[in-house]
Amino acid sequence: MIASPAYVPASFKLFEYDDLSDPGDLGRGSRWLPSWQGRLAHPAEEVSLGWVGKNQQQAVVATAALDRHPNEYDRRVNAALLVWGGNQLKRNDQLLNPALAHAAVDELSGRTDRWSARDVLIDGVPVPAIATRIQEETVCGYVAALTHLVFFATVNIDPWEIRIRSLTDRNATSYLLDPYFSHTFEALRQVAPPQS
Amino acid sequence: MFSSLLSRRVATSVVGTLFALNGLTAQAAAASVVVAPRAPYGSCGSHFQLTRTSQSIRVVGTSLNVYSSGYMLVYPSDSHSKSYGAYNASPYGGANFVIDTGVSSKQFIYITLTNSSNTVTLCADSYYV
Repeated sequence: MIASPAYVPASFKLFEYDDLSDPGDLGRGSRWLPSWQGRLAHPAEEVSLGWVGKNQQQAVVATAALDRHPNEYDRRVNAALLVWGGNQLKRNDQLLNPALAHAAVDELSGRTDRWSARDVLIDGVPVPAIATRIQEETVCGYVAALTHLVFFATVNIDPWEIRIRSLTDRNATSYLLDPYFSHTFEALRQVAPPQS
Repeated sequence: MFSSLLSRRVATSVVGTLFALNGLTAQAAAASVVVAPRAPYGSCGSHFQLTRTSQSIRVVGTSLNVYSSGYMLVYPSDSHSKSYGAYNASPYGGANFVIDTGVSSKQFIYITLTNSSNTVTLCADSYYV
């Protein structure tokens, strides 16, 4: 049998989309833990935290250690995978064919001219990010901080108003499963993706 | 085309080896004979893309929600009978991890995707990278 827990929290601080709500306030939208990357029953190497707003807005913010994606190309790939790697963002041009999804990620990641520097707000402070826009409604990108990487992908959110904040212990109570605690697959299975 | 065919052929031929390499999967396979017949599984095909950088190979799985609406596990192994993982895979976020093979020459990497309890193999394939 597989040893539980399946999800073991990362050893680093996580980040989430900042909808300007008070910690623990569920009034503006729903938060969830759509995925994490890493070895089973080992501390997660990368954790994605999702947010779904009341008006079709969506955001996924993934935190990883700096050395997990050591170069700019890897980082562009990972940012693009937030959009095309699965279905954590509901989009009009969802690519269900895996070959097309990989091709889209490869094409976007390889085109440095599609990516540009811009600021995103992290904990209220402008921080330089690298980002790109996919069609009208989707933006993805990343921030390389001193000790970690923060990837983001948003749908129907003003690209100039992307805000991210540290996940505090208090904020973590907004999630049905607290990302700072271990969870079994059984518990993870109980949580359905929030609806917009 | 040829490499694709070769890949499929090897994938077919290594299924038994995979069970031998992966104790958990082997146990699960044995247990499933008693508990329930295992559904036939196919090639993972283009759901997984592997890229090599020196001794490291990045494994990226996309659109894995076609296999399961729940979490899954990825079991990689290499041509030298070395196993890695299991790595988590999500129907929402796919899979993305790096294995260090210790060698920089190209070789077959075998991928097996199972359900989260490792009792059902969802797909298996080999990739020459």
